[in-house]
Amino acid sequence: MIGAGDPRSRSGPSAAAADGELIRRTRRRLVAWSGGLTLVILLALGVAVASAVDGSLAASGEVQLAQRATLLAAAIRGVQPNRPGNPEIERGGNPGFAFGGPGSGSFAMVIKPDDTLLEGSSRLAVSLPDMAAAAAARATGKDVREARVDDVPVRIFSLAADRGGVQYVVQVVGDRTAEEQTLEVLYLVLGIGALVALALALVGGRIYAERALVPIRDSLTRQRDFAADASHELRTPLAVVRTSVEHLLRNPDRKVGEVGTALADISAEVDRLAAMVGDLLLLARADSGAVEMTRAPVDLADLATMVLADLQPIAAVANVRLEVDAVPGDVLGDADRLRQLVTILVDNAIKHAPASGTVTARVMRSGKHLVLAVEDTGTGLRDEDIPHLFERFWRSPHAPQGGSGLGLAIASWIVAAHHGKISATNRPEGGARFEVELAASEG
Amino acid sequence: MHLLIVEDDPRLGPLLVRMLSEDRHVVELAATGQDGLEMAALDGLDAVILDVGLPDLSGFEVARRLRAKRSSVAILMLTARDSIRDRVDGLDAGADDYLVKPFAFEELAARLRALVRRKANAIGQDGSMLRNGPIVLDEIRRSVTVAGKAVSLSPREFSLLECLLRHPGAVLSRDQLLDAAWPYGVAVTPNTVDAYVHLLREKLGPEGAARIRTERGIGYRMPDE
Repeated sequence: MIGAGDPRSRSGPSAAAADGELIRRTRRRLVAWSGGLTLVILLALGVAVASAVDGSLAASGEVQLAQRATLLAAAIRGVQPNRPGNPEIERGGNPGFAFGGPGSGSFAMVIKPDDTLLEGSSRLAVSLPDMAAAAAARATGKDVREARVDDVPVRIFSLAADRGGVQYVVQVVGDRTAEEQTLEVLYLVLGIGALVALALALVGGRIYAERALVPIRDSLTRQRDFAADASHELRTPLAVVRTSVEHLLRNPDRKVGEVGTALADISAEVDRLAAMVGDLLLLARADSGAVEMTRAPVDLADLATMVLADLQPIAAVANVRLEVDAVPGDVLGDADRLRQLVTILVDNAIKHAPASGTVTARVMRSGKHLVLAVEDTGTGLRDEDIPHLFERFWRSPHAPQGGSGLGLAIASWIVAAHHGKISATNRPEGGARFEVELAASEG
Repeated sequence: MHLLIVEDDPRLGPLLVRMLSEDRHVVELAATGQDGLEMAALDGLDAVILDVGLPDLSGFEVARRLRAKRSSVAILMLTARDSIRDRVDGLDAGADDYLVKPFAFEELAARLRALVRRKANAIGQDGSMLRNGPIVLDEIRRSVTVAGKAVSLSPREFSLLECLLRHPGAVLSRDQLLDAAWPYGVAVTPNTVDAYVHLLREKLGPEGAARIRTERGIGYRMPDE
């Protein structure tokens, strides 16, 4: 009994506001999670890339210095393998700058045990040679360290070499400026990339959350409307019961006939309430997926015949004739639910058939499907009503009184649960036709 | 009171008519918004009891259209919806009061009395008693006394007296009294009013009868003290 022309959500703005708050909170959480996760991933990735590049650059730099130091140490020891094409060895291993060959661009020195430089070695800077590194090399044979010389980043490779019981130390110094700049560019790229990726993650997360929440918001609204409609539908019967009881209590010495009328009203409304509560419960369970469906072969023709027999007394009161025109055929489904489906359709048809009209239930085979059609000889459906027929609580303004407005909604749910199709049309001869198409079971 | 009930429920509507009629109100019933709108436009109504969930027009719409036509009849909305938004919508549409189903009949009756009292702006009336000289009409018990003695009136006489008591000092024409105290759709001649006033005066006794003054050629009036 929803008034015509009421476009807003029927549960009102306060409920919508509560929904909005819930949605906003969920959206904030989704966005925060998306951003936080992206940040963690980026940090881990950045640290891994930076340390890998740093390590790889250091290793290759060290290898260059080590090669030159090893050659020099060999020259000092007097072991001079004749390797043509290596000018350093041919010259007996000269300290100083090297251009080309192993450790190209590096500067080498030879330090005597008294910490002075061997003849031929020149002093490049005040802080070179690095005596701490030389001492470490004397102790352990070899030392690698990074340092700054006159503000230039360098790598210092020191190697001990004995000659006739005298311990020399070869120290090779390589410039790390290019290496350091490469790392700086890498850190910059990683940092900017992380910020951009984080921003994208936040924006993308928000858009994604917005999209993901649309069906949830719809479902919330539907649920609230359903609850509002349900309470609405229950209140009018309750009002009748309450007022009838008050009517009886007001004057206990009422005539028996009047008492009977009031009691009949109460009884009818209680029936209506009970039926509606049953329907509501079924739909609520259907929504939460808590209705179990069995699957067994059901003969639709037989089912239609049984339902019509059940409804014969009601049809007789309404002076409506019932007919079956059915070919036998099985569908796989829940016999009780299918019986409820046919009952809803036939009962509905009886209500809309005129006196001395006819309701016909037909079962036909159509390819791999079985089609159940229920037809009446009433005035038919109004075109503007057809899109609303299967909505919950929807009742045509022109329909006869009574009914919960849930019957066809339940029918539609039963058909959907059997993966079938339900439709409503007007017959060319006049009268409405409800058609259900279900897959025929094999064999 | 002359009341109009606009309610589509096939049981609740007639039930309310029965109960309000037992309280000696003149009650009309409309089952659709369109019918209700037409009947509410007729003269003499004290209040409209308007259901919100009607099959054609919603009760909100009926109230809006009534107010748009400058009708000042008291409107009591009856609805199964209890959200604040619905109450506000109802009052904004022009309803004077709002009652949620399932309601207690006593509350409905009390709210109707309060509405009509406010509309009539009856100064000097205490709560549920309508007084004029020795005549006292108890709106809750639906009884009449003259100088403390109970008087038994037919529903029509009761409605007639109630209408006169509600408008002290005003001259009420025969047509106005017909509209207020007789149901619509019944052909009644203005002479009938004279006949009922005559009966009413007899039942009220000389003391009470003196309070109903005849305005020659126009109608009747109760003095305003």
